[in-house]
Amino acid sequence: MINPIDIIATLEPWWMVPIALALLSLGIAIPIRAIMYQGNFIILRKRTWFVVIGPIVEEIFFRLFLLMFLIGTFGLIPGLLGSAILYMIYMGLVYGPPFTADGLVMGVLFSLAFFELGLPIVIMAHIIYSAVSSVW
Amino acid sequence: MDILVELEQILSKYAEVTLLGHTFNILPIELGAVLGIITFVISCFLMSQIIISPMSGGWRTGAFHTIVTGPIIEEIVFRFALITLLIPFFNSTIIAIAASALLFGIAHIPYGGLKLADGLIFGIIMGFAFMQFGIVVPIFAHITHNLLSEIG
Repeated sequence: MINPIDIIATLEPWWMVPIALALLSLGIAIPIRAIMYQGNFIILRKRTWFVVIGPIVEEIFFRLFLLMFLIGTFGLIPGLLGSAILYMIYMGLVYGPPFTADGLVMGVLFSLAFFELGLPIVIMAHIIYSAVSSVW
Repeated sequence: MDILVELEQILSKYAEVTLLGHTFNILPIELGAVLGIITFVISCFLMSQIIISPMSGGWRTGAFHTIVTGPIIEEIVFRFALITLLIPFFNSTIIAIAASALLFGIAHIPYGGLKLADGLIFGIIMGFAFMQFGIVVPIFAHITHNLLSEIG
């Protein structure tokens, strides 16, 4: 099984990496979210939080603190899954039930990217993801 | 202003289309319009009605989003990014196009269940157009398709 992050990590120049990560996650998350739309579109009102502050805070807490703590406590796979599930619950509570799909995709892909590429790249990818997602 | 010059160069570069032994030189905007009309007719046959855009109202559901921003973002995400990233993942162009078309179809389920099949066919046609002519042609085809459904 090929890790999609390995394909993304080889991209040149370096700023293509977060853009590609964000677009790949969007392409997987939007269809899953569409199933959960049930015909209704969601319009987010808190755009500043959603696009700028939210990504930085979420990445620092969920990736840097929570994921590292869970992996150190329970091991690699349970830690990854636990972090993804907690992130799904968080997304569902804060942004609305359809965004659990985004929580699942980002919880897995961004965690893998956090291991291989580091926190700044993941924060940039999250900001791009939220910006595109708010226009969608 | 540099980016405008580049955009003009991209838009004024003729695409070569070979059809029934004849080679046509056609601008990407015209080729996109033709593909958009063809896919619109296919959609109408598939839905067995003249399809009308269900989107109306605010910023994310209005006409501007249907005609301009929606197609550009969708083509960038589903064609430019997904096909480019899925080709090394699957080691196959055809499977990458099919996978991106399937995701594109699923993403249009909110507009109605039949839109899944419609989006699948549209995604496959646009995927091959992207592989052949680049990202400009699918964007214009998508804009034409949505414009027709907005007018109709």
